[in-house]
Amino acid sequence: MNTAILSRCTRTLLAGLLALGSMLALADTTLPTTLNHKWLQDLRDGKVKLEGDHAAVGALILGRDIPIPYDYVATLMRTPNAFGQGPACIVCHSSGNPAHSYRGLNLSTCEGIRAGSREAPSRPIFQPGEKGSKHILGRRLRNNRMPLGVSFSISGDNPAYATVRRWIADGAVNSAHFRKNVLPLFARDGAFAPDTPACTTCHMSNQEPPSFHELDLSTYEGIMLGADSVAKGVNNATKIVIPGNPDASSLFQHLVEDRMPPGISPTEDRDHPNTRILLRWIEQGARCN
Amino acid sequence: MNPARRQLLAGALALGLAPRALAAGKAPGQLTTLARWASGDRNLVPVSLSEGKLLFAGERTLGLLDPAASTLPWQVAHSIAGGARFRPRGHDGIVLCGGRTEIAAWRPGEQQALWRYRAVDQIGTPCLAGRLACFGDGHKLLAVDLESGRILWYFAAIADTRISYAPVVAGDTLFVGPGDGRLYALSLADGQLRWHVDRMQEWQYLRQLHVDGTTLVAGSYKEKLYGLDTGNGQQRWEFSAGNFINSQHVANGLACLWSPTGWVYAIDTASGKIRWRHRTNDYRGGVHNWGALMAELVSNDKEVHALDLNNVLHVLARDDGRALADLKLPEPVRPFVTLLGDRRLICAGNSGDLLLLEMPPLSA
Ligand code: HEC
Ligand code: HEC
Repeated sequence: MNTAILSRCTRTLLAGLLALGSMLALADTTLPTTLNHKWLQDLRDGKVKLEGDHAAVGALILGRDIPIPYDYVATLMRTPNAFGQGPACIVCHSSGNPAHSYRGLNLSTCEGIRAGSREAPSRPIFQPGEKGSKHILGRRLRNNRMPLGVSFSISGDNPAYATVRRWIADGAVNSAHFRKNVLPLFARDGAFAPDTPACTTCHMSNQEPPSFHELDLSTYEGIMLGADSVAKGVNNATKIVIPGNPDASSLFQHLVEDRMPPGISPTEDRDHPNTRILLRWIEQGARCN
Repeated sequence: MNPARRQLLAGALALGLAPRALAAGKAPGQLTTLARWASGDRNLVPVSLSEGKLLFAGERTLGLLDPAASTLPWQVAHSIAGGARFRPRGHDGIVLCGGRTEIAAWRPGEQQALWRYRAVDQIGTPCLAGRLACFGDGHKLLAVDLESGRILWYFAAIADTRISYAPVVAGDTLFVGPGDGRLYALSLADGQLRWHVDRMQEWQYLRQLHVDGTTLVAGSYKEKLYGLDTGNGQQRWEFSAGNFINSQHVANGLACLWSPTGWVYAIDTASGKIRWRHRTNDYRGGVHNWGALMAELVSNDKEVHALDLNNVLHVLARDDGRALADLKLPEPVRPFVTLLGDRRLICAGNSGDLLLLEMPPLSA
């Protein structure tokens, strides 16, 4: 429908009706003009789909793409348990000063959030206007560190991590070194942290039913094919190794990046409603006003 | 347990928030091996029950197991490149077995395949509708005569997407939810499109389709389970699992699934309401934590069975999810279990042995 025409008609109509003093009645029954009217109209038309436990967030906020105010984001950063159990973000990320604030990340101001980590390697944690889930902030809120359930107290400095990192940095080739020293790490219990299951316990095949995220870490071909390959097809699978670039490789990211806040349990929903709202704010341009 | 954690738990207990299952005492026990058959094939895919016998397939072979016989009545080298990926399926004395590159049919007892079909793109998990084998090859859904291998009809979804998960049949309608984000309802007789709904943004694709009554239950890429009207595809309900759902078991009004957030959920397939949920894991490493679940859940009229990746079979009551038993497997097994009745079940050892196991009596 041509909205310009619609609104012109509406204006004339409304002007006339105002005179009659019955504007509300009309707007209520036929013409959705405000967010609220549209909502009521959709309710009447049976167009509202209620999405599970967080129906209000889905139906009234995300489904209508209403602008997320920075104020709300500021509140989230200050609130304990905002994205799942744990202390508020700003306790640990309070300023750009890496002496007092982890990674020199200041989540207490809009500029700080947009600027990202000030400690080397200094970097933004998202790109305003882009989908947020693959960028640093989205990953830290949604992705559990692997193996699933591993504690944040496990240092990412140990030799097993270094071996994977180096292999990716060197081009991720199917060499004798890979087969002898890298591949077996994914199949060994406790390879990356004590008392944790081998990666291949959960990522071992693409049979029926598939492994978690249709990911097979038991062979070179499986690792290079990546995740979600069954459903998306070989060419569209989510690559988890970017040869030469471990930091951009989700295989390495999942090994070393702790979900935030530290200690949050994998029992927490990855798509917490507040996480979805925060990511929507980023997609909308991460505006500060 | 550290004192802080103990205190926390005490507090939670007082609030009635204690993870019920993790604290509950249940019968410990062991499954007993009644018989074993060496398939000589590692990486066996889940077996299927067909006319009282079991069909099994692995990297190299396909065969038949008769729980009453001490030797395997039939086993052939299937020579499917890449091995069998789907559970073999049987109907009317014919067996379908396949992987991503090839799918073929045999008459048990015979060495030669009745027919073979090689993938143009990539073969998806098949379903059998009587003598019709329906499966995806790339974006095309093929309906093939099970005996002759003749393609009776095909339906083309959107190019460059894939039909990877099995379609499902209800009455004379076939449902399929490929990677183009649509749910298609096709006439089983000729593949004509009856209707489709397009929900690419919401689900990307549907996997593990089941029909229960007039509800189509399907998982999706985005960690959700949907209940859809089989008449028109309209959504009846939606359930967010909080993490990846690799499969769901649907039987008699109940959809059961495991979420890596550490719950088994039992959802009413008509209303989408959670009938019960059972805490399996709090990720604090206690002895009551289950291993992760990859095997599809199974059930009978009283119990739901969950085989975890630590080789323990957990038995829950079907009506309220209370823990009935944790049964240790005698050896490490592949992630599947098939119930036979009479408290017997079939698993496969990692060595390639098929195992007939018996459960101890459970005090309910
Ligand atoms: C108890 C302290 C603590 C809290 C609370 C906390 N963090 Fe962190 N955060 C850390 C530490 C320590 C690191 C760096 C170590 C690591 O990588 O795990 C970090 C790293 C990060 C990074 C990665 C930055 C980069 O450059 O890679 C992001 C993003 C982040 N935190 C976001 C958050 C958000 C959002 C919250 C609130 C939900 C939060 N953090 C709560 C301690 C905390
Ligand atoms: C107990 C089961 C389990 C184990 C063991 C496990 N994972 Fe995962 N993995 C999961 C689940 C569940 C997800 C879904 C995402 C999440 O929870 O954040 C996942 C997701 C992933 C992904 C993301 C795939 C994508 O969609 O991009 C990668 C990469 C990954 N795991 C790597 C590993 C590695 C490497 C190991 C071993 C160090 C490992 N996993 C061990 C269960 C497991």
